[in-house]
Amino acid sequence: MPARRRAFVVLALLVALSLASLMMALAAGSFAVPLREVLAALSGAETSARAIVFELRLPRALAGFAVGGLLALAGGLMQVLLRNPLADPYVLGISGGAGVGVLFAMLMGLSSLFIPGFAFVGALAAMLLVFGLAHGDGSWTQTRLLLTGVVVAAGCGAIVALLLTLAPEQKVHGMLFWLMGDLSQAVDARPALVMLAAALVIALPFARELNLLARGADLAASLGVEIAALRRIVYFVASLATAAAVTTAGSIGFVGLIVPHLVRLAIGNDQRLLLPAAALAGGSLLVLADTASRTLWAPQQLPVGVLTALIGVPVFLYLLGRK
Amino acid sequence: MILSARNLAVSVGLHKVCLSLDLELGPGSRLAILGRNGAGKSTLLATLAGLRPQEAGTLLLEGKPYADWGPRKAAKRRGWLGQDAGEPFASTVLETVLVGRHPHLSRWGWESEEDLAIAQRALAQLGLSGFEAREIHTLSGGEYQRVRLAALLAQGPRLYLLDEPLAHLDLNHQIATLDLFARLAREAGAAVAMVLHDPNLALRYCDQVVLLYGDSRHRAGPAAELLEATILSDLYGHPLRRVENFFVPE
Repeated sequence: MPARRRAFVVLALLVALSLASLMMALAAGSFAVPLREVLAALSGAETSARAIVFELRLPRALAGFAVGGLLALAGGLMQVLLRNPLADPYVLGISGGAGVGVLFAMLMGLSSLFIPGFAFVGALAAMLLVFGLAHGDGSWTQTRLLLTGVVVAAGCGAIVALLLTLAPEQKVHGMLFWLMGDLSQAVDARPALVMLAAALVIALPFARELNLLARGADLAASLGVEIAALRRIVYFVASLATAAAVTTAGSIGFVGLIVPHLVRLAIGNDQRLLLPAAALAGGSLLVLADTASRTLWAPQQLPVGVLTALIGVPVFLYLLGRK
Repeated sequence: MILSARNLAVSVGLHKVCLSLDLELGPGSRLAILGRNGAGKSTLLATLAGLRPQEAGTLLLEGKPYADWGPRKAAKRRGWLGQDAGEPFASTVLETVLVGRHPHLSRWGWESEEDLAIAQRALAQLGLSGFEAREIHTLSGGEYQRVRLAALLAQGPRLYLLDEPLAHLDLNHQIATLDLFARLAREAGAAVAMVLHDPNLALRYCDQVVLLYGDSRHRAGPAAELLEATILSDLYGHPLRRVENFFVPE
């Protein structure tokens, strides 16, 4: 099958998977809503389930989809930028920066309304710090960027640990909850959805150039890619996507590292297909994991990161072993 | 002229590779760059490819500086084979060769049937027909080197700049590769500049040489003049003797 048609088929299937996962998230819960009523509520009919679907479940499901998509997209971009399959959205210290910002706000006893703002400012500060330091002498090797990011992340980790020890006991639980990442704190899905759409719109025109960047900067340059500009774009898109995800739901692990690999194993490493496919797959995975996390052990909620790993690890191992 | 350099000064860090190199590569030219390890052969080649700035002098690709061409248009005219940087991600042989078609495609373009045919032809020229679906990490070093050369052929430039094109290749593929580029120069009017380690192959396949001494001195000129025992002994810091009636692969 020609590559372009195959790409459309794969993306159509993933869009269907995304819609199915969202429907499931709207239907499932401690108060089960039949699919027919979900559809009726979505089409504007006045049903008894309307409030539950629209006010409780839809914002959380959309936030989950946006966060999963942002993390998977950012992870895929970071892996290409650093030419390192082990890179994830947090490798350059962005979640660490957000964590410091949020814990500081919590320690100061600021209202939860300020939490997203502090998360975003912290993430942005870490991102600019890493970029500035790695850029120092003008040279910009992947190793230098990676090392700078890892060191900044370690520094943020130390500050997070320090803030946790200094915090009074009654605040520690909330802090740990935020650090683990969780979608129940997502209040508004719209900024993350807009960010996801913007990140895709900015990254996709460069997708074929990213294929070359993954094979080496000099090779890409010799084939007509403006490396310095491309790296800057990818760095900022991936960082802002991560910052938006962390701001919405804390640092949810696993999605950003594994989903790009999962998609790569299934359909290959052409970024033209991989980037949108990873965004859709990451969104679906997080929505499914979040739905499972709030229904499996109801009324107890499980950390969503645990569920993403429990769903993703067997799928990943299956794809890895397949040949 | 396909590539011409005038008073070219190249340096990397504090190391001066050459101070004032003059070079003219027209259709059919084959240039060998020789020198000891660390003399700056790869640096010079990357400079000639427009991938790093020269310190002084002018460098013209088909009459215009690289900056005037822009990276995309330059890439249709000049191909560069670097030393193997490793591939962190899996991909197939065919995908790897199609990379060479990038400068010929528009931003939203996908590889056409014609691009596929060009890639297949390039693979056939390097004796790799039937390898299309192979994963590159399962290839031997020599096979992978030939895949990279095939990608360069698929790019289809007029100027080929090759950094150790024979790395990892066995004897028959070394000769086949050099024959291939000699044919491109002769029949398609291409110009070829390559970093080599074997002065015998340079003498047999090239008409010009640049010798880099590693201390900012260089010599450039016809291969027949410069490739002789005393000059090469001085270049490599090891005595060489010319021997006739030696076994050479045909």
